Amino acid sequence: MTDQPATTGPAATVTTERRPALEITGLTAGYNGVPAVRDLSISVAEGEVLALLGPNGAGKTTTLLAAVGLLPAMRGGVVALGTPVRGRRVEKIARAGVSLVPDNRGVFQRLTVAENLRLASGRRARADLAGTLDLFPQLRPLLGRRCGLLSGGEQQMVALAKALLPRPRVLLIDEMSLGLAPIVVQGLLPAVRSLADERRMAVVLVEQHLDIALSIADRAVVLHHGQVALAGPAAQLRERRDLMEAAYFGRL
Amino acid sequence: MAQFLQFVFLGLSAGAVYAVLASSLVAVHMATGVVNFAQGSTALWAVWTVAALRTDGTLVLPVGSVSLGPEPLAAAPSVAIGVATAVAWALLAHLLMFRPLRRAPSLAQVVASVGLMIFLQALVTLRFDITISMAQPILPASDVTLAGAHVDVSDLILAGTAIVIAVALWAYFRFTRPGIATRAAAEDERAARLTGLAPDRLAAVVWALTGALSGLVAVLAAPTVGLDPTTYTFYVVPALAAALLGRLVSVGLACAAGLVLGSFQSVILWGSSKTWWPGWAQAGLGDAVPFVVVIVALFLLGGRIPARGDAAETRLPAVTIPRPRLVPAALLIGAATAATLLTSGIWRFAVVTSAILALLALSQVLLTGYLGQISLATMAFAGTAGFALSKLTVSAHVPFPLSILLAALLATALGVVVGIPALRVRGAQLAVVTLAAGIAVQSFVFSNPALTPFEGNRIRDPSLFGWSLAVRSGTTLTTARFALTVLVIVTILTLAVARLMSGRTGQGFLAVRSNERAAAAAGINVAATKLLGFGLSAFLGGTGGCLIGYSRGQLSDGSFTVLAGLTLLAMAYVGGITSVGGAVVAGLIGPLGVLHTFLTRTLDVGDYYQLIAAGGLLLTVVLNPRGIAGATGGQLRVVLARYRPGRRGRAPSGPPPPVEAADVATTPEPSHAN
Repeated sequence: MTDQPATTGPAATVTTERRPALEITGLTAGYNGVPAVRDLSISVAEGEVLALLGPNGAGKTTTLLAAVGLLPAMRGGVVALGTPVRGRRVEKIARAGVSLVPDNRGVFQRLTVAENLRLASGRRARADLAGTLDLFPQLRPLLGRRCGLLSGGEQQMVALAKALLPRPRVLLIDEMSLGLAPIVVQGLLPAVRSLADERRMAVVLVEQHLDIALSIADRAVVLHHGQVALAGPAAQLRERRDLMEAAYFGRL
Repeated sequence: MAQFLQFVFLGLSAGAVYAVLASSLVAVHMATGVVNFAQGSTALWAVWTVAALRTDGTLVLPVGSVSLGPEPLAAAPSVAIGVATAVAWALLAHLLMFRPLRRAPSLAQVVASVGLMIFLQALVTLRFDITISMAQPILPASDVTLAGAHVDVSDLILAGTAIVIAVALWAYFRFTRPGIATRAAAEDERAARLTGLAPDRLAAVVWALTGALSGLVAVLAAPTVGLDPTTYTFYVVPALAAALLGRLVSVGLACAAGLVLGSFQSVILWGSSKTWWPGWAQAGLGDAVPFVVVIVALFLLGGRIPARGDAAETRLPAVTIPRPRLVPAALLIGAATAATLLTSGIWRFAVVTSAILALLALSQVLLTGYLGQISLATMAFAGTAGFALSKLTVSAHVPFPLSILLAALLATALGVVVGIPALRVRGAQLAVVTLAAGIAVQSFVFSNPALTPFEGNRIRDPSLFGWSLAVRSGTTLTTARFALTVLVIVTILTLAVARLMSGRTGQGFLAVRSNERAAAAAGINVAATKLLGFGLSAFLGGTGGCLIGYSRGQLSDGSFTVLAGLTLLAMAYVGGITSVGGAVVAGLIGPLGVLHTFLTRTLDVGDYYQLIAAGGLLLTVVLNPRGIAGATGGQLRVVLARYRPGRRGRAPSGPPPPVEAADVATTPEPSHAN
């Protein structure tokens, strides 16, 4: 039973001096009236990378969907970039600067890489496109190819490039490692870290590969049955595998 | 040769309409995944709006009309207003129907667009003065000589317009950001919204655009092609054929195919005036061409037509599995018998017609509701059997029960043949095949003077063991003997179907409906199941057609029109496409049935019947996909369950009412804590 969120370390509800970009307060959300996330409160500051961890069915994806307005909250709510999410259209929230890379990658398979990127960049200058392609140089020769013909890793690069192009101020990434070799993810995530620092972008990272996630995150939250089981600075949690395991199995 | 060329060019005006409708169909399908059977009907409204404006300056609205001055309106503003009405209809269709249905199964989308097609068709007939027979010219009337053939400039302008439109649509989807965004949104709506695109707005743009283009070309072509309250509605069939040749993704191919199809039909017309042309093919061959094209397109290109192997990801309308129970069945049969015996004249005829229609609707329920195969050709099956009955009884003197059996078996054979394409195509494309088949049979068989004499097909009255079962006897319009014969046949077949559907066959049908691959994996022979469904459905339809034949005494090409078939599908859907009870309801509310007679005789609003039918269909498909029978049945069960004490527990509140999975649970269940 984990009715009381067990917390360790100094960081149950970290209040940083930086302004929060994404604030989730008392969120209860779920499907068909059954909550998957209960009374959850998480806050992510500008330039901060938060790893959202937990076993299958812990409510990680649910949290992200609620954060971008794809899933209405039953109770509580989400404030993204100073504006409540409730009642706003998903596309409006996306255009305001909240990007989600969904777990199915959200890449348009029937469009070429260039078309995918063009849709994401909006009416922005081509300079941004060039800048983003510098981050993913492997995509340059593939621009004219349909995304359905790319490998999983290449598609994930397109997904990330697509999410980064509109210069989001909040970036949510759902299971980038799904179906990919860890080495591919290891190549992609450091880019996200440096962008978070450069652009003061808030990042929420849902990951199954704990080591990769904790190595680039500032902070981590472990969910279990839709509630916070463990939270703390990533560096500390990296050292405490026993605590992490206990949180994963709901034994805290 | 010059004459041949002349006919090639003559066909370009109709070809241009096909081409633009086909391009629009492709565009709408690319943007929304909908195959819009009503594409021609919106254009039809524009054509008649322009005709009315240019006759007496009246702007006819769906309700009421506005006079824009005492004089006929000039060409340019009339065309602009006409095109605007087509845009308005297209946008309304998007907002009120296809947007709410965007995640609905393709059956609901097909039925909705067919409903819109009938609705607009009926509304045009009601609202406009359809005695206007000539559309006034808009394009220049001069002609030029090309390779010895006199060619109307207007035909060339129309063809040019079609090509320009196709190129523009192609460029829109290929190069512009909204166009690319539209394709993206059609592929994955959620991802599109996460990318900051607004799928609804993008789709609305395409609806409006294609509505305008279809309206424009139809208005421009009307002076050449002719003014008729139905033509444009069914222009959608050759257009669909052309769109399928373009695999529903290529605007350019669809446009080219449309133009060629128009010319080809025109050349056939030229050929049929020649002495060397076979007599049996003198009429209707042109209408059969689109069917051939559709079949070729689907068989040769079938593997490349998108969305072919999709499992049904969306929720299908809930099925009521028939459990033949003695009491309700006996009550229903008793009521029908009483209704037959207590009525006379036109009312008894209405009861008999309702029973026959219930049988036809049952054929639709079996095929579309249970097996999930959208067929628009039920009336073609019925008609084939009816016409066969005429030949069998008049020429071959086959006696009564055998005559129905043989005729229905012929329809069964046709059903299996039409079902063969269903082994490869499904969903909306199958609806296109069956609609094209229906049109081909109607034009090539029913309306073909070589097969159907001008005075109609007489049918000898039935008799059994020397007893006359004729529908008419002296001044009696409908004899009790005939009415009871119909009831007996309908009852036996209905019970047989209910029995079949509650057993293994029915389960096989449902498995194929929900997911063909999963059904195959579970050991069901999908091909055999589908053919069985088509055969059974055609047998029921054929029997219904024979009964219609006997009840009329003679049949003409007007007896089994495609439009009547579409209305019947509408009624079956309104009644409840997934239950036997729905078929009964459909019979009661079907054309010339009890409700129809009530509306005509008692309320005197028979003219509005088709409109009411289509309107009812549109409401049903958006608001209540289970139909009247499904909804009432569901409420009935809830009420019964509430008042029936629990069998085991005898709990004071009784067992909870059985609810559909769709309605389940707003009660939050505590998530399992371990």
